[in-house]
Amino acid sequence: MIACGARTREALPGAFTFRGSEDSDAVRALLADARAGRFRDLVFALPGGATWALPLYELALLTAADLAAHGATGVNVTLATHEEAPLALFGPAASEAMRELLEARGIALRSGVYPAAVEAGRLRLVPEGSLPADRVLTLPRLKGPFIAGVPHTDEGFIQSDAFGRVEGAPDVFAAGDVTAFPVKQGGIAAQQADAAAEAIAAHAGAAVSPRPFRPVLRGLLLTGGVPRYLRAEMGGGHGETSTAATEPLWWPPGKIAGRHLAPFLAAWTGLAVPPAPPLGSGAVEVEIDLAARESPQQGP
Amino acid sequence: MRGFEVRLERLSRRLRSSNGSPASSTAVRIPYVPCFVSPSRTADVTLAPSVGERVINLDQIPCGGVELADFPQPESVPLPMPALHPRRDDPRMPGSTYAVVWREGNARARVGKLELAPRHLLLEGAAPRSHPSRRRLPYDALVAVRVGHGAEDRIEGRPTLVLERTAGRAIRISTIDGPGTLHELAERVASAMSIEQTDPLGRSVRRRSGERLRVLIAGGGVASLEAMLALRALAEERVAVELLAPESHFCYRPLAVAEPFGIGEVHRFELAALASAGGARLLRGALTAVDARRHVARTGRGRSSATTSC
Repeated sequence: MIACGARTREALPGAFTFRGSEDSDAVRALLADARAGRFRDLVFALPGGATWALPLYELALLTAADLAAHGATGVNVTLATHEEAPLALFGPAASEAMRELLEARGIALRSGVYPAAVEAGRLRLVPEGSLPADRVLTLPRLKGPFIAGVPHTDEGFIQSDAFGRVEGAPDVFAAGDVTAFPVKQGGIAAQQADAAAEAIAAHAGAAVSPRPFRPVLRGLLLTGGVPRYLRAEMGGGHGETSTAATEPLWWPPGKIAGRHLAPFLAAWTGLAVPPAPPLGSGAVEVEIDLAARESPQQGP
Repeated sequence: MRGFEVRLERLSRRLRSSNGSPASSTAVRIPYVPCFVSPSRTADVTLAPSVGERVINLDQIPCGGVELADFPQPESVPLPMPALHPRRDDPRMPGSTYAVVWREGNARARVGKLELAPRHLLLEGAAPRSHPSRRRLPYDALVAVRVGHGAEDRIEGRPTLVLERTAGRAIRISTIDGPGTLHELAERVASAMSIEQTDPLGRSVRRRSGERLRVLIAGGGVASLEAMLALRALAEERVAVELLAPESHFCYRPLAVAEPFGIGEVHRFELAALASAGGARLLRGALTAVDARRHVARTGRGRSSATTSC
């Protein structure tokens, strides 16, 4: 099974590309400059070809929350995206929730445009227009690893079927970002891996009826306040399955919703389980002595 | 009703009483919640007073009536499956009987009949001056079937159908009706083996005694670890899994966005430890090429594990 991921590449000339932990210091420096009023216009830009937009929205929301918390009101924050609606992949319910969040944080939304390049303090947009942009933060594009001997797309991704089988390569499977499936996300990768694992397990003689990959998006959105749990099935339709909630929609409620990996990691360290929400008015935490068999009933 | 009424609320790992009256003594440890409580509601469960343990394993708490929360799983859809009922040309059609002479290893030849049953073939016969015997050979216990023309394969000068088995000596069968019947029988047995040893996707199932399917998973990220755990859960000891990755650690990268704001951090897990816990062996290296026909994966140095960042 080929599951060796994808490679990142710069997507927007002149912008700062956030790839992960290695760029945390740079974002901290950007925040410090913003708090100190060293620039005025900050744009979070989703480039064409980047299908997993959630981290960019998180960075925008967290930045706005941070600036508000530090009383830095002089920075204009804008999010520019080629999507027709924010987080459109998750459907209308998520887009509506996202619009409200952006508005509440004072983030301007410019949708339906393709950020093309940063030039002379402006972000050029396609098909037309530009935005004032002293700083631009974006996400990388991905390209495949070009594994030799395996059929792949022009960008190096591997074509596989709903059971993870690689076309033209018997007994070879693929899952995750390395595949040509356009949405590159941990939960999707896990679902692909599950489909492939079931097919392989059946091949090994296990009593398993392999089920094909049917993508369901699950996204835990960090907002700087109460997180949002977003869910959508990618089977077409008109957004009926789009859900946005402040309560977990899956278990464990981690960032990566993998059937086997998520509970495994949760059991391993507990990291995937966010802190318990504040206690409700009608609930009080207690300790129970289970050895006290004759204790009176605890009830209203 | 005696007992404590507790509430699993908001998927937290806490037990709370419904009226807030605390009981004394030590804490209850909940290692893991095996039943997934709907996050949008609370689920009331009752611990009977007969549960007199200091540590509750929630497996002991009935999950009846508790809604299942959403969980990452693909929906089931119809798959091409082998026919449930034999077709007319199905080699497993019962009632197919041949007059044969058969021999197991170097033992004496026996004269009798061969019957093709849905999941096995049955040999019945007797050697001269011996008691009749029966041999039942499941199709999934056969490794190979061929027509043997060599001297060592022949019985009374006639070519035989040679059945190689996962365990035990080969069985050679000659038909009394002539070579045409032998080839017909060979085709039907081979076809029966193919169906019986084929998974729902139409792929050959490996069931040789003691043989484990070797699975190489290239990568040290979410997909590879999920596949490793899924294979261990589904196929158990039928597979021997190796994880090939250039990195030394698995990084929980989605939390990277939280790091600059001090509200989270990327957690790093030693891949060797995860692989060990998942019943896999970790190999260091990066996949560079695959020779599918020869079942060979080629590796390179890949990214240096020492410099690979989370």
